[in-house]
Amino acid sequence: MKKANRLKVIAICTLFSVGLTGCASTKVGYGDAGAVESTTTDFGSTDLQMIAGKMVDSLLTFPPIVDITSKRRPVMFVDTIKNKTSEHIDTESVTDTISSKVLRSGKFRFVDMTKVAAVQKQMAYQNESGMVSKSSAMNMGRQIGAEYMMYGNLSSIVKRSGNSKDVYYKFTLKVMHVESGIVEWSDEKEIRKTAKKSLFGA
Amino acid sequence: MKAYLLTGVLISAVGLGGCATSGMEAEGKPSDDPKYAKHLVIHNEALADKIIIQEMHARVARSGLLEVSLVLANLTSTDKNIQYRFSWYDADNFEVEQDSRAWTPVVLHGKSKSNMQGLAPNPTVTTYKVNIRELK
Repeated sequence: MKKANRLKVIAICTLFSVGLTGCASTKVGYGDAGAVESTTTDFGSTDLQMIAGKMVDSLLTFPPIVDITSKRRPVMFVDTIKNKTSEHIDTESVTDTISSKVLRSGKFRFVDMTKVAAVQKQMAYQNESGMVSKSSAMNMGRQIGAEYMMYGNLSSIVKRSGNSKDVYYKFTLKVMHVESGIVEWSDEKEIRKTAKKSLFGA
Repeated sequence: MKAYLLTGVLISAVGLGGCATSGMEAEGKPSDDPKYAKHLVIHNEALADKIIIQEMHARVARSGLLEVSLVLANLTSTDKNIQYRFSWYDADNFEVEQDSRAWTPVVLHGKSKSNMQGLAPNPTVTTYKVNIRELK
């Protein structure tokens, strides 16, 4: 009788451990890239999307910019966005999203300053290597100079008190006329994120 | 008996959780009367009792881009965390820049109105759709 009981216990334990192992499996799924993400107070995808959305809407509705872009598509280049926060943030990713949206609106054109070296190398190959037929080689000295420069800052103020944390982000973006040095447009986007650690529950 | 009760509670909890993923959906174009949102679809009646789309304005700006302004009113006295998303369609009802739309979170304070604005991604847009749901 005792032996039978022991066997039963062993069987139940084995089944239970098999069950637990089953629970520990990893499930991979696809989520909505546009969904609101609030895992932590760190800079996240929703912040990037909100900043890009606001900046593009503001730029394209500002009356002097509407006048400038009504009959032609001026050429712009993107300078760096200074990351003044204490976090590691890929600000190039923010400017990439903004410049893509602005370009796809059909109101501005862009020159990519990060690819100057690659273009120079290709031009040298086409014109100087003797490998490319002269009729199809791209001519030197025909690039179009950028009329406007886009640049900005991302700063943050972080405050902690006990179990709560408050993060304030401020993104400033400006567009300057390269020749005259006049700032044609500027706008800010503010984001406030708060986190509270609670002892129980979520 | 207890088991039945627990099952009932579990099912209703799952049901409520399901409702939280959908909200309200409204369509419009510049010629629509702002006081009456055309084609308003309510997926979540509990949310529709608390938050209403009071006005929907749309215009084609001088830049040729469709601008939308939406007035949302919180009928309750507590703050509501909601999210909204615009989607844009051309004259043939094809969605424009499908992958670029993202949900925007916003806090609607108790018994207050708030204005949401959206700008079409390019001049081909003629109609828009807005989705509103509660942020959980």
